[in-house]
Amino acid sequence: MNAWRRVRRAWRLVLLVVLLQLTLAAFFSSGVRAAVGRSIEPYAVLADGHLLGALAALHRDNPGLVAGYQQVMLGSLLISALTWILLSPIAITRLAASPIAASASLRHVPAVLATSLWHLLPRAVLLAAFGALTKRLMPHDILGLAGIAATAIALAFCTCALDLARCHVVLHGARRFHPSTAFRAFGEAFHRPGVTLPSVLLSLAQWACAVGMLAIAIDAAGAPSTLWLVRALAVVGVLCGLTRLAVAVEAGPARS
Amino acid sequence: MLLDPNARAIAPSPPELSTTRCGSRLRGSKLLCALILGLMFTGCSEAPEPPRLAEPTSALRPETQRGLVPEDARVTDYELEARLDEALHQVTGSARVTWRNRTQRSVDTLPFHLYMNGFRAEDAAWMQTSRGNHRRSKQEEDGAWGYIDIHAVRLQAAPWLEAAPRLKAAPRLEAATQRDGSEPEAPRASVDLPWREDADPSTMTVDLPQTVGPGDVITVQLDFTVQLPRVIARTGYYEDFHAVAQWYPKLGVLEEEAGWQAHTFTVHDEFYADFGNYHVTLDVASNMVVGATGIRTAEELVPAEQTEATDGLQEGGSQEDGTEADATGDRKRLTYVAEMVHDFVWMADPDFVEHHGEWQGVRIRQLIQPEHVGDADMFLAVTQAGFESYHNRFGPYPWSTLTIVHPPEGAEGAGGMEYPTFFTAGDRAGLPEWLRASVLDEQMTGKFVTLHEFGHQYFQGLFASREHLEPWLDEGINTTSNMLAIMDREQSDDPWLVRLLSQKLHYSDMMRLGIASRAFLQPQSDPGHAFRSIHRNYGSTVYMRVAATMLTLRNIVGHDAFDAAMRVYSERARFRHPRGSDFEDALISSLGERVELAAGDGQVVTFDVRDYLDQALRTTRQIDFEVFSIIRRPLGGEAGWHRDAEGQLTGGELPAYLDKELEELEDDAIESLVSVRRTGSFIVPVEIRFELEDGSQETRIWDGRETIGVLSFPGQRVRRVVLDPDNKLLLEWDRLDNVAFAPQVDEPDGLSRPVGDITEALSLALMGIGL
Repeated sequence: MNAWRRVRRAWRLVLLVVLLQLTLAAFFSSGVRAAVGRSIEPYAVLADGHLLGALAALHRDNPGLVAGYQQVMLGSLLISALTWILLSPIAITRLAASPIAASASLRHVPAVLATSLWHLLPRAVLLAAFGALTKRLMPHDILGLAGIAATAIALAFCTCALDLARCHVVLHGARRFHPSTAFRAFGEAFHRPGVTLPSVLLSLAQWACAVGMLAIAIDAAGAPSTLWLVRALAVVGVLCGLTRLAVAVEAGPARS
Repeated sequence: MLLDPNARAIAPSPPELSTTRCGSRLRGSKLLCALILGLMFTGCSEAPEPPRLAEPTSALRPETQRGLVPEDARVTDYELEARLDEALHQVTGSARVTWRNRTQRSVDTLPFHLYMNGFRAEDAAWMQTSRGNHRRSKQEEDGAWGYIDIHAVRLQAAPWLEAAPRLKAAPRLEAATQRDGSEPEAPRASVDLPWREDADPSTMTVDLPQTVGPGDVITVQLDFTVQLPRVIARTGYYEDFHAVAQWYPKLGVLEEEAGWQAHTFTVHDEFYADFGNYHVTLDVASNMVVGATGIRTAEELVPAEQTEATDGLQEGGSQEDGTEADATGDRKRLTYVAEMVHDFVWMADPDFVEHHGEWQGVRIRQLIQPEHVGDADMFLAVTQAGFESYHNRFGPYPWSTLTIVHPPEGAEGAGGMEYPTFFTAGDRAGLPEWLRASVLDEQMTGKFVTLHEFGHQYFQGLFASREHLEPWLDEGINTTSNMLAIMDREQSDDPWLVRLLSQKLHYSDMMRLGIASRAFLQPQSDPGHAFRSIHRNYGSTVYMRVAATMLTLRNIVGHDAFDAAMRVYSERARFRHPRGSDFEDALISSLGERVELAAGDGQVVTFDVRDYLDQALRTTRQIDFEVFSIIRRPLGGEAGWHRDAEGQLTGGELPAYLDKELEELEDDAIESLVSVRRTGSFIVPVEIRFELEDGSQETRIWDGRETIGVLSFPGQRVRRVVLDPDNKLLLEWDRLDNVAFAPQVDEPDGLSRPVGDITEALSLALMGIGL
């Protein structure tokens, strides 16, 4: 069974994640919309290309609005973290078509959390080493396209390793809290390009969707169809993320 | 051709070397390395080195290009000699000052500025007013103090010097300074003159034995030592970089009405001096690359064995303070000539890389740090655009050269300052080019700062106003001219400053944001010393608010009329010391006292130019309008009881609106009333655009004399009202209350939806990456 087929089979999971994200995002932003609307009431601004200036003036006069944005960001990050930790065992068992009930898969949450935390260590070391190397190789271009692309690839590689580690914990009985589970996944990712390459590409696509959503929202600035385009990209991003996880499920147990 | 032998050619870009190493170090990760290499090779193309241009042979451009230079504008000439001790960061030198009394006054003293003494002690006026902070630089432990110490003052020439026996001190003979390798001049008689520092050490007074009358010419020589501080307020040293600015004793300006002008140096008082010719000889380490006012006319290498002791040099060429000196101990003597300028600055750094360009024969020489060489073409292009715009708007640039110095990292306090034929730039924000091209770009750092400092070549360099007394005439009008130059360059009346994808922050937005909080604490025409640094309102008032004032005036009276008035001022102010009143007179004489403003429907409102300038320059009044209300209501008719010809009450019919909703009434049965309110105390006419339900629109001008004005539209339904629809009133910093819909109209406010959409996208993006 390939990864994409696993995602299609788990359509209820896809629907759940998509609806959860769209609903929460709409809920968060509705408060901001209302706050901005009340701040400028009863006036309006012209669509004459001075949106940034008007926004800056609005926030100069209503500094409290910034608290609204902070709430949205914190709430979204919290949901993001909960998705990472709570949802991943359920997602992995669903994608693996495992007979384990969703509630039962929640028992893996502490192990997934521990693996994620252990994972931070080699990720930090790898990224620091990579950053130093990149800076040495490209001292004048660390923020250039090459530097950005290379860093994104390195991060995607780390994500692939974590996916493998999580799958080993949930599906293959790997040592639940031991750091070696997290560390070995890096070696496995390095030696299994058939898993790593699609995983990296899917990660990049997922992040491209995130960046694209922001870019479209800023660029179109309130045009009628903007929001639906953003939401469509969010759905594509969810599909990319779940397919990436399915790639790790498809990879099976670690090869010794 | 005179080129500095130490100036390095632009270095090849390093990626070529880097890529060679890449192949050997990343064998283990072929995919990653291939990707990196592929991306890096795309950026390896080397820009061709621009041609190096010869030093001009004359400090001024030919008369056919520069126009006439009035002879009576030349007042004070200087012959300066200076030797830089790179280890001690000291300059020892002499100044031979020849002054012509162009006034009808007689004087018996000479006041000199000793600007460097502003940094001498905590109780000096500059330090008191700044507390050691200036823009991006602050006083450091190393090099905390700077000063100038005068050793001697001697009178060398005066109409009455031959009558020396009558003087207290007998004249003595001394050899005149030999220069240009010419024969020594005949020995001169000289008389030691008494002098004293004033209450603040930033000025001193020299007593003359006799008065200097109208038309008289005298020459005095001053010997001095300057200790440079670590870079602060446009001068000083940082490692090997030396910015030697405001370094010599500079004579005050004798004004016909006010007498000698030599102001105390405080944090917001810049510089004021007469035009004259400069002949300067600099003695520096041979590895120094030097930029200076004017043109270099001679260069002589002085081998170490012919120099004085190499004090402070340690083995290997490093100095006691750890900076690098020329290990050979060789020196060089550079001679510079500048004509019809009112200041002389020089800067030296062994790391400078030269970059040359030109505009209509004017040599543009950049001295830039190696890591920023890639930006040199951008700086050159902006400077060339500045030349083009200023030439067309304000007349020809008179000098043959322009030097642009980019101070190194750590010496930012020397950046963003203007001197005749010379300015220091600030570096461009470190946004990578791909980001600038696609996502986020800005034109403030690098471009705007360059144009601003270039603009000072005219506004103060050529139109030498009294910046300490009228900073608005220098900084403010210069900022105005910068905006005009940017409009010329971008071919837009409101160019952008920051671009985020397709959203732009325009210059008009920046000005409004700039003046919003602190620009109205005091009149913009206040002298420099009236601005207290604790209020941090100097920049927003003197730069931004003045520019907003002038560009608002330009928008009101018409661009062509205002530009013509600026030309009138420019013609009058060249090589002069114009006053603010001269500027206002030029505007009024060109524009007229009153300007008739016409709206589309034949309506005419009179705009009083003088009153506008009075309010803007000499009060703290602010322009602010708001749409107060938009009311639709039934039009009053004739229903009800009326007396007929016999005096009987007849009729009694009900008004038509009683049994109908407002929206059900015919157009001719209703009226719209729009109330606009002047919430600011600045009285100025404002255009108002009324958009009607039938799709038509009408523009009227309200003179703004009353606090509130009511405009009626019988038989029409007003849909939206826009105050100042063409964005003319840049002085109105709060425009969020300028647009309103009628209450019956359900339309988005234009802000809540885009902000909500961006927030929702941000939320989805953050949640999405958690998967």
